[in-house]
Amino acid sequence: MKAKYSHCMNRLAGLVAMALVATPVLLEAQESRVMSPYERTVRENFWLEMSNPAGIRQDTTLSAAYAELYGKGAYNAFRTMSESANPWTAGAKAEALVHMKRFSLAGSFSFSQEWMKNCCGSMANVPGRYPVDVFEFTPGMKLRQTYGIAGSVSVDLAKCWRAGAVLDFRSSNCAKRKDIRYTDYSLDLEFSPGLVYHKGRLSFGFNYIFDKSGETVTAEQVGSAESSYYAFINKGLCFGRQEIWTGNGVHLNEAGVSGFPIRENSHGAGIQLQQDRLFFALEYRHASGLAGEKQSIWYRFPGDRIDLRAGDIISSGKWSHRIALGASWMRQSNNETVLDKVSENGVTTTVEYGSNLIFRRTVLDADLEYSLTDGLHTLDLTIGAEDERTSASQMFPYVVDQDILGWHADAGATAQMGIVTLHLGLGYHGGGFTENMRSTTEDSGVQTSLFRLEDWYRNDMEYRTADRISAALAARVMVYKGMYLQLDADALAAFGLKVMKGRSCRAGACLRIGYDF
Amino acid sequence: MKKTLLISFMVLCAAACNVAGPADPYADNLCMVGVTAVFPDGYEDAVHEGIAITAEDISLGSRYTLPSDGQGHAELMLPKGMYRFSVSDIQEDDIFNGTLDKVAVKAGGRYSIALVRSRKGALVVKEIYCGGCLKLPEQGNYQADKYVIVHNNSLDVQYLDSLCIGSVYPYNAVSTNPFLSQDPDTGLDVLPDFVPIGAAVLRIGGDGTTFPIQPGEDAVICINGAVDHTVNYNLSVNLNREDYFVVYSETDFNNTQYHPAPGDKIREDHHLIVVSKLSGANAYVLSINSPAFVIYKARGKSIEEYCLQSDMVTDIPGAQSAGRVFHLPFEWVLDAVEVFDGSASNNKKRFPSMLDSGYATLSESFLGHTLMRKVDEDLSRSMGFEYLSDTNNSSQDFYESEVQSLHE
Repeated sequence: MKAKYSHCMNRLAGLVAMALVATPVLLEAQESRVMSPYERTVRENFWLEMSNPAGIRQDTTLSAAYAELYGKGAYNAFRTMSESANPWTAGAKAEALVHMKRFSLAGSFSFSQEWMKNCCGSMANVPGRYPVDVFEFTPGMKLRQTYGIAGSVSVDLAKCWRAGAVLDFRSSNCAKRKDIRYTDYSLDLEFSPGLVYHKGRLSFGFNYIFDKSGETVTAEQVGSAESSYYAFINKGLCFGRQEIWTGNGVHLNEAGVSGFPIRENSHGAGIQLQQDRLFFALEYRHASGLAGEKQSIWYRFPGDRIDLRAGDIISSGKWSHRIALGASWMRQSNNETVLDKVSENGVTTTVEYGSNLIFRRTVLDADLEYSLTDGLHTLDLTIGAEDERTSASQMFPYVVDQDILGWHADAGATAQMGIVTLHLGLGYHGGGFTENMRSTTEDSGVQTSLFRLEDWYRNDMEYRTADRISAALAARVMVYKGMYLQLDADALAAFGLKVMKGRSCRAGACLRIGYDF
Repeated sequence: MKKTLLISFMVLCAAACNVAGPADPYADNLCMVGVTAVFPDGYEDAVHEGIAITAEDISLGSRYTLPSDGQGHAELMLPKGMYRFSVSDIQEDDIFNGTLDKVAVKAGGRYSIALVRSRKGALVVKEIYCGGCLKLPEQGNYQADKYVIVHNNSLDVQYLDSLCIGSVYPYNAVSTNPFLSQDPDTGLDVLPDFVPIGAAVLRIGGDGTTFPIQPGEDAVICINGAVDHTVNYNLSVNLNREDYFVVYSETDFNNTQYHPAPGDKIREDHHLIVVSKLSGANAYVLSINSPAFVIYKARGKSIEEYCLQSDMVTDIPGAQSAGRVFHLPFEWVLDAVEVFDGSASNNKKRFPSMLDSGYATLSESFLGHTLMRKVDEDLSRSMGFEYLSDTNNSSQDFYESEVQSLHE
């Protein structure tokens, strides 16, 4: 069963979804989850899956809230090169939706701490989110703390008008404690004001979306070693430059710049239409990103994203049918700037002489969901597909084009029997990719060739595209009044592996203690 | 039904957007530039078709080489970047080299590389060991064992008397060069018309015939201690040997870590003479990752007399605290070797083309690696002694060896 997100978390979901799409974590085994009354309430309102906060007063009239503590452990033999084989996570989460006479409030809070042993690879908080990334190669303990807080309000301004605003904040601190040791501080902030006009069976919404995100990786070497530590800057498709981590090419230790800063701002808008329970929404975001700071801007990456969501809920007696279609399209390009340090009268300035396009990608994904429920029993079915096309052009005249196609089908069933709720989920994911290197001209006289982190690339591509089946089991027991105890377990097995032979499985378990208010 | 069709249409529209980008991502960023190799006066007829003209992106390391036409001209299509253009052409005993450094290419740019003629040298630098080694089995790095080897690459006996060694300022290839000026017409950086020698002016003693070096023979000059470094660090070298020369002065270089008292086999007349100390450092400065090293002899009068001239020793612009430099004329230079730091981008040339049109690369310090001049096997056989490659282009003449030649 796909996880459902409240309106406060939908952007983060979009972010994670984009990262999932863009990184090898795409086809991961879904985390098993028994829906709480809060999540069932939120699920009734398609507005809460999009970014217009004014819509939280649409459809749902019930207030709901929950809070829980959880602890997760996993064994990941089948994983990307940047993942830990044995991660542990502990966290707390609370979400609430409150409807008052003239206004509604929604809020959430989350905290998690992850322990990742023998971790190396990408230094980024969400590998693949940005088109440029830096890798290091010394496995060590990595710790990540993530904090999230969000709040939104929707107010009835007049008989047919509602206004709302949402502020969503998430920060993450990551530290690796073994040379090359580093810290990564990331911040994500979204603000969106919106309006909804509703009359009779029709509703129309509009909202503006502003998103600001950034992270800074700061690396250092404390001890001494037999040989120098290397780092690799991945400029797309695992092509890039590998050198000693203090070298100018990887930008981790550049004079005048603090660490490796990267940030992205986006502006967008959304429109929503609703007739009865039929819902349609479209959102557009334009992003501008850059890596570097002050005069030393090494990369600029603009992007666009369109999200579409449509759904309907049809009640038939005690049964309710929920159909939803989600699709998103994004494109992103990366331009590497040409910089030179010029000294005049003892003063050194950095001059930019233009830029070269080195990377482009477009990602299209679509999901179709169907759910049937009578409140006690639920059946969920999901099918989806994704197409990612990437082109790397880091060294003239070479161009490398890649096309990744992925598909998945998931089914889940939940049954509540007294104080016990059981869930079973099954999934199948598959995919494939093609890659072609070409030369735009034969007369360039090029003498050098592209460098690729070949082993890492083959491992991560296999992770993204190998066929796999997954299973999930969850059991929730209502212990006392609203208090519950829940145990989730999931497992995944991949097959047809060539690079990760003998490392085909993933398994995890999560214990949750919570309270439904 | 209508809703289904509408939704399906929108998804198809989105799918249609997910197409590959432009077939040629370089189309908007390429610059067609013309590069012409210009032969020096008196050698205009030496131009011929097929001269290799090379453009190297200074930051990315990508390299493009195209042959010239009969006029020494080539058209290169290059993406935006900072480039180093170089030409190297050998015609019998004449070597024609030229370099244009730090060129920000623009579409339609026209660049001329003035070639400089040089001849193969008699005395050449055979080896530069500056990168240090590991202190294994202890932890840490060791860099107090640097040395240089000079080789007689001619059929005649040469004399090391009054031979000077020099470490060019700036000491590192990635450092800002305060001696650069800008061409008012092209905006390109222009190197000074002298070689700025930093640290100190050092020479070998002798009366003119005291220190002969036979054809094919080598002379080792210890930049740091002429001692047996392998006693403590077995990856290092033993520099306590007869006939080795050493940079040693108790008064000028009193850092005993880098300039300990020479070993018992080192003769006192093999201590280099400090003609002029140019910086306040208590040790002689030679970069561990990217030195520009030169050997030279003064002409006309003694190097001591030149060092007393105010126009020959001046302050470093914008960095008076770093010391002074000696203005070494190009004509005095016997051999020059430019070394770039392989772990860094944005290395910059410090020697003009006539001295060294390329560069050797030291990939990493503290690994015991050394830079060696290649042996010309054919000429070595015909001459009867080890004859080294000498094209005045360190890119072609040098390679990186994983072990010092003096390591046992």
